[in-house]
Amino acid sequence: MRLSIPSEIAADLQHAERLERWTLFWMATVVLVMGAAMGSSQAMRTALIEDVLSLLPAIVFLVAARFERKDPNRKFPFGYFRANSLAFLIAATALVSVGAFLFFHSAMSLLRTEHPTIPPVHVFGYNVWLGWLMIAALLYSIIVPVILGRLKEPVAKRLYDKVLHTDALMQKADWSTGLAGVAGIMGIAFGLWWADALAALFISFEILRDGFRQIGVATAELVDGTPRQLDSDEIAEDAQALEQFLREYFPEAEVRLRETGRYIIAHLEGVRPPDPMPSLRSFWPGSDDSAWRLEAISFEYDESS
Amino acid sequence: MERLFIFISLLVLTACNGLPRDPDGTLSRIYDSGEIRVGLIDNTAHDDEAWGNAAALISRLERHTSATAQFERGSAAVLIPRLEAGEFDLVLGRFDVRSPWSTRVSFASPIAYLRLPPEAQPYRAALPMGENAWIEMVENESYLLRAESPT
Repeated sequence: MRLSIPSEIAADLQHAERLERWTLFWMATVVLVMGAAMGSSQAMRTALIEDVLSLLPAIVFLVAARFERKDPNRKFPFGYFRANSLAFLIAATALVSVGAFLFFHSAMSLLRTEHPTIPPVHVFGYNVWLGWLMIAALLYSIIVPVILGRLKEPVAKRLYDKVLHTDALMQKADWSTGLAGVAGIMGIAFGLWWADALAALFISFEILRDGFRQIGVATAELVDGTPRQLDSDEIAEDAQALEQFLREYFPEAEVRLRETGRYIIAHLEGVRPPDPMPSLRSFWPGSDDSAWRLEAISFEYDESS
Repeated sequence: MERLFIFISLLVLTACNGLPRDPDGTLSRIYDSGEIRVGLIDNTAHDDEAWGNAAALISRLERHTSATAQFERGSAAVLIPRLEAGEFDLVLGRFDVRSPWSTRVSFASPIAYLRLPPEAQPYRAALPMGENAWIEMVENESYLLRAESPT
């Protein structure tokens, strides 16, 4: 069993951590800008709460990455690889919360036929309709997550990092709520009181769907399911290939795969380990670059049977 | 970034002259009918500054819209629901900072403060929710009035 971060992904992991620290910094500036332009608007408050919640995946990623590097000890003899799985569940839950919050809020304002008031504000002797300032702030809140999300997605794929992937989805949620906000405020400017809430309602469906799918994947991992794809509940392709390879290599064995964090562990029941034991890498059917995914193979063989 | 910000703001500003509009058309109804329906809440004891500024605010609004104000007096419990129902365009009165009406109507900036112990209470206009063009006009005039009058 390997007990440290594989060298192939060390650089990517560092890069991911840097991206997440940038996320915290830039999203904090978004929160400040939004807070300044918010006024008493409910719509903007929703967008702001969404932005604050969206920091959660970045935070849990950084915490989990720190734990993942820690050496195993007597209390945690298997190391901390699963900190990532736990972080993933938290991140997925945060995504669902954002979606649920947005859904509830926009549905309520539609049902109550709330006509949102956006007053003018007085800045440096000018009277400006706050709606224009809100649009400016929302445009800023779109640009930042679009860039961050794009930078994260390829790294998440290389690292098989579900937290990072969920965080990239969160950025998608961020910029789409921002876009919905702009559409909503433009709608209000044209006297369509329902525009804001309706735009938010559509976005909330999308976020909820993403969030529930991610919770499904997170649950699969925590209850020792076969490794899943990053973005769906289907079994991961490399896991399928590995399973098939091991079945052919050990035809009499029962093959079971599970995932801890980003690593796959194979359990073979009913066979003795081959002697001499070939290297772990030689069991990996995929490309060499991702061979680190297979963390361990364990053999169970009952001599009496 | 800052320049881009200002640029976008200016672009939006110039592109959207005549916005925001009222969802229920309060301002255009005032233009068309030539009348501003004003409610006065009787909870205000005589106060020179409040009455003076109220008169000044109404005459500014009359000038802007070429309309004439029609007044009706009553209690907040009667006038505010009628404001919500669209029977008034604006209701003037003493509205506490924690006014229970604040979720049902929009308040403009105070045009005076009434010295009622324990705290000074704002005298201001209550407006129909979301009528953003009308709210913009009343708010700007309320704000200017207070900025120009010496206190």
